[in-house]
Amino acid sequence: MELLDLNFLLRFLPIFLLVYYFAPVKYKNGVLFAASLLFYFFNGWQNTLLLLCSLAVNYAAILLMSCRPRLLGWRRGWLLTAVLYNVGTLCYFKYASSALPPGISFYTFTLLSADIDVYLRREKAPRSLTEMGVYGIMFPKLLSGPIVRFKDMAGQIRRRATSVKKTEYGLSLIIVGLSFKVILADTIGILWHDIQTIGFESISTPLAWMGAAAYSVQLLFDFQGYSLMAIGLASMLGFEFPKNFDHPYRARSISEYYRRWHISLGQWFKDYLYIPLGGNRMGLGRTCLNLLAVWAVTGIWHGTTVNFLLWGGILGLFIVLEKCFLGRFLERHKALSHLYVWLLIPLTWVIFAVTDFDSLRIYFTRLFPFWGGGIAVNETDWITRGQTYLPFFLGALAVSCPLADRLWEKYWSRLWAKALLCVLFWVCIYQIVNGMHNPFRYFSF
Amino acid sequence: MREQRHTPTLFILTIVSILLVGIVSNVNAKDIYQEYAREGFSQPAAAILMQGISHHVYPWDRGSQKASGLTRLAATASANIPALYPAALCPDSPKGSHTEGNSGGAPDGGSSGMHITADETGTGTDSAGAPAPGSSQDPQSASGSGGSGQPSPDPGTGASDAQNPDSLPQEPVQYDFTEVTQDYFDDALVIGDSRAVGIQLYSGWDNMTYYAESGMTVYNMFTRGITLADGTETTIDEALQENTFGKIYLEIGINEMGTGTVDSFMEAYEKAVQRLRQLQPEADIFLCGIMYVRQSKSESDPIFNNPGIRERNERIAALADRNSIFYLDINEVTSDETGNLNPEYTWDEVHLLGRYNVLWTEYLSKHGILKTPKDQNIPL
Repeated sequence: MELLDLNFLLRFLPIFLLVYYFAPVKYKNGVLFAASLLFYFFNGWQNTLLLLCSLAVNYAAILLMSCRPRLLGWRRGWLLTAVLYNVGTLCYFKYASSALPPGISFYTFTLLSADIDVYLRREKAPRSLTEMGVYGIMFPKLLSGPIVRFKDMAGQIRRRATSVKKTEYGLSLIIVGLSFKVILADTIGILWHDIQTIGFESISTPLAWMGAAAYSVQLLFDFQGYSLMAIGLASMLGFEFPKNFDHPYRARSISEYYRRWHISLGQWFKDYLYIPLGGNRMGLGRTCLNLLAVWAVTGIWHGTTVNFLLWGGILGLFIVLEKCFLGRFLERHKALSHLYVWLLIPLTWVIFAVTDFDSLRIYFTRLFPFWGGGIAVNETDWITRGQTYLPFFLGALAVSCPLADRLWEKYWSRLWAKALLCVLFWVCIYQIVNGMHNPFRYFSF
Repeated sequence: MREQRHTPTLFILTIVSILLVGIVSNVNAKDIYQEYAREGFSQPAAAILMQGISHHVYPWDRGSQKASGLTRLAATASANIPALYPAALCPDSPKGSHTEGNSGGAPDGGSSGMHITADETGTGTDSAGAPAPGSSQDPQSASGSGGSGQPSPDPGTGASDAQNPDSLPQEPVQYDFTEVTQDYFDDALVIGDSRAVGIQLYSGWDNMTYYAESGMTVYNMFTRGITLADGTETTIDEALQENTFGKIYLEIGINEMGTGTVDSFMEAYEKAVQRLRQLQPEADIFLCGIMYVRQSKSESDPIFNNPGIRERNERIAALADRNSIFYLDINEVTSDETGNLNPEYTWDEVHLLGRYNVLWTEYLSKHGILKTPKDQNIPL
């Protein structure tokens, strides 16, 4: 089961919410933990066993660490055990297994955060397996984050309150997230799908650039949509999750872009890798090395093929360059800095998207057709597609502009806005059904 | 910001609408939406309603029309096709008087009343065998490139038939495929779905006319809007009343697999062919068999799989009379030794990559039909 599943939206969630709202405060965590296990159970019992196993191992390590808090060696030993277990399972399933259990990258990092925060004595251990479970695997964030940090969550897990405002706000965020994903990301994603169907060698250069833009926009609204849904669900349950996306395309440098993109992962790497490596306190040379290390690991986290390493490496390189001198230059040139981000980021997303090097090479020769190339290219292919997708690109732009933020803040709780949101909800359901039941929704070749 | 009192309006609206939609869907699931209620309890009933709506079957239609969604879908499609068809075009109909059906290139030397019949085996070999006297010696029409394989009836059969003309059933000449050059296709029209759009955009042939749109089906092909090369919006029905073509290629059938049965598909397909014949009486109609999908898809997809495609192709092939309706099977060149779409040729398992649409033009070039004036009136 996942957040876009009709069974989740129309069956699981309403029933769960009824139970959750009527459950006495002291049982709410239990209800949430059980519901999360059930939610995950639909993804296969083997995966659920693995999830429970990870939960148990990490909880055991945390309990062991906190039972002798003054013995640094003891704590370090158990932390190491937990880290080895987590990294080991993650690597095993990423590289040696045929199928990756859903959400494993996300829940493993979440659990690691608890291990490290307890090890560093930033936070006390969870008081029960239920608390650990709610933290580690609560269904809103189980499959695709945000990767919350234990120190931010521990207090809320012990004590939180639901309210009408949080419920309403949460539900409105869920619907907005759903629309981002289903209406914007999935539709614009068809363009990227089309380009692969045609074959990279047969696309015109304008279409190649449109494709890079389409993939970038799709990725943003897909992931941002999921994050908003997770944040909204959490809000309905009384939690407050931090923002996961903060308008990355308003950034003026690659470093800033990644402070605004998948914020929770960036924070995680900063807290648990970059700073332990020494961060920026050990001279410029070491800082650059640390940045490159963090970005190499970020690349590896995202996927198993070599292109992800290349993607992370290139980003790390630009971030290092920005740290050295490029940043100061971009600071002074506003227009240039925006152009730099808007050109470079989509190119890096192409590297992220195309896992096979030969295809990647072909795509780049279509983006920059100086060396010829291209077979059976239809030079006007971008015109009709431009007409089809322009409204969606404009829509994506419109909801990303500062005015949209202000309008949202001002009007989201008005009656007419809520009526509109309810209609939007059903538009999304319609889209999900007719996308799911019609495998040929992509048939626009 | 001013403190505001919040009411759970959105929550109530959403929950109530979920309940309402659930009730409406469940009530109709066994009625107007029964065609969509295939998945039982594994999906919320709302899915049924949403599917119905996407096919323009609304809950308020209930009672006013008892027919189920699909039946109505087919009905709407066929309602646009007048019921006047040359009987000869129905493959099941007895060999039939061709008097009103002579449109399709049936020999118009009706005065003699003598038509050549070539039996299946005879024509199968005649490209290698001796051509009928007089036919292949004629200068080729502008586009002909191959010297053999003329539309020649098997001489032996022809001769024996000629001996007792009175006993002859009045059946038209059967023609064989021959190799042609690109200009043969100057008066050709391709009608079809996204796969035909692929030919249009990536084969490099722009001398043909294309009435192709993704998502086109035999149910909607005459009525849905199409955009012509010059940008005008029309329908195929209208366009075919205004323009004349010598050859019509119908490349359609994959989208339909998700709805209805093979029989309901074939019913609509036959009607579509009949309508084409009626609109373009002089044209040769080429029915293109549905191209297979990739093995991985075929084996995992309960609907869009190659056994299903083969079943439909066999039925489509049976519509061909080899006189004015021909069957073409692109799978001869696009499938691999396992009988599935060659995985090298596709990314999405269904469509040819742009660069491989040239397979179509190569294949079509080898499957032209040449009817020289003499062939229309073969002396016996």
